Amino acid sequence: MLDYRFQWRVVFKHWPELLDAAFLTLELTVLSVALGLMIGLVLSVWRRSDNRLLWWFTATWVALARNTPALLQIYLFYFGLGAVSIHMSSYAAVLAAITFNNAGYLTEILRGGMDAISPAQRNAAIGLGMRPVQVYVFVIIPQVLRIVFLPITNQIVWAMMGTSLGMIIGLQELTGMTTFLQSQTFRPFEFYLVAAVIYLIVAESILITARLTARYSFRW
Amino acid sequence: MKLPNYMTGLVAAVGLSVCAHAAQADLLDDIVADGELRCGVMLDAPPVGLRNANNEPIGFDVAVCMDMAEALGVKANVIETPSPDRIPALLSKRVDISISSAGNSLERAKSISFSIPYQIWDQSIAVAADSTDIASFDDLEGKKIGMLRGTTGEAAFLKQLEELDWSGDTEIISYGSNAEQFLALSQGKVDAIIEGTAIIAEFARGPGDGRIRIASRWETGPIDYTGLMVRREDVGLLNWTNLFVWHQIKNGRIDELYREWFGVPAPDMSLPGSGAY
Repeated sequence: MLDYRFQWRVVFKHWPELLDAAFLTLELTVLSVALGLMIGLVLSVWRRSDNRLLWWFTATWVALARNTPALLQIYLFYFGLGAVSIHMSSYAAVLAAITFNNAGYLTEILRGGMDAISPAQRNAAIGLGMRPVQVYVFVIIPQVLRIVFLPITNQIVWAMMGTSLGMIIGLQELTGMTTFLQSQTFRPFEFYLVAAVIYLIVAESILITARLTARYSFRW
Repeated sequence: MKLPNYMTGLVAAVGLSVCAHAAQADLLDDIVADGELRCGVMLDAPPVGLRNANNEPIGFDVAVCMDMAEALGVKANVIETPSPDRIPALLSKRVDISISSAGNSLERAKSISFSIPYQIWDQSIAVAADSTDIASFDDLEGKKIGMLRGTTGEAAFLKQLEELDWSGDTEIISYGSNAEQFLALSQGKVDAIIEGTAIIAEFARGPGDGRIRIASRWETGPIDYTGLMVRREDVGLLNWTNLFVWHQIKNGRIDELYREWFGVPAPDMSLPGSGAY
């Protein structure tokens, strides 16, 4: 390594492509977490439901999403569905797989948050004449969000790293673009180092934004 | 504190000898002294590198590594480096030499050094066995085309696309390895793929038998002359490697490997009119 000479000019030359790819990574991360959170909210309610069918559906989803590698999940959405002639684009397959994965983890995080809310809160809300949906929307979920907010930021960073697997099926996100550029220029250390720094910056910005949001939103 | 004169002299002498040693040491000496040649070879790219039923590496490039170790009188150590990992492995000194069918582009040669050519690669267009609407390169307009990320073929195709006035429906998807590329073609995710003729032919004979076929040669595609790769500073090893490849061509060994792994006689590696290889 001592006699390796870094040449940064070639990285600056390809800076616009890297930036585009970084935004694609960010976009996939935000979308997959937002969708995963919506599905996770529904699943975590179902997880506590008395309906056996809903309970089993949720338990299966959570088990599959958390106990199989994300790469395998991407393969299943892309090539697995492809085998039965359902064709998704690389972008859609990665988004679907990472959302599926996120929903599994987020369900468990949210369920933990719901378990932490005392049953007395629910009973009190019902006692005030609220309908079950109102109980969740106005009483339970706001408190749950406060408890699970920081664990969810971990999941956002995890989702961001998961999107890098998209390069295998031809998605030009940050890792895919970096691999492409280094193989064209044969300057691997420069490009991978820069990609690592970009990932670090994106992840830190997510965490800092989340902490600031938490500080201002959960002051009550 | 002042050092006695003889001490200063001694320190200077030791310093000089260390410098002189560092300047003289060549990787070629180290390989002979260690009795081991570490070759970086792609083992996921039949027919140049693959594993046999006993999980031993075989293939065109593996055979070149064995020959080279034999010529040096040392043991061959084949280290697997997938396509995108070829240069990082060399630069980080995990391997002494990369024998991995790498096209000798001037851009790449800014980072590592190439030997004289030992193979010539052309590219072909493969389609599903029952496909009828693609017979030449121009038929690819408006189709979905699967490439292999980071290959000279991909770079050349993207460059040609900029100049061709093709419809906007033409879509390129670059996969991470041959396995995904062939799977995507078999499933109909892409209408055609472009890859080295030898690699497609090998797949069409093996697992892709009856599922894919070569539609046409890519006439305007790049003709890649491949070379063995060493680090730029290992000039002594590079000189020896050049002579080694020259001997392999001269004694007919390259032709033998071509017939064994590609099923055709070796082409003439010299460029007409250039007066050199």
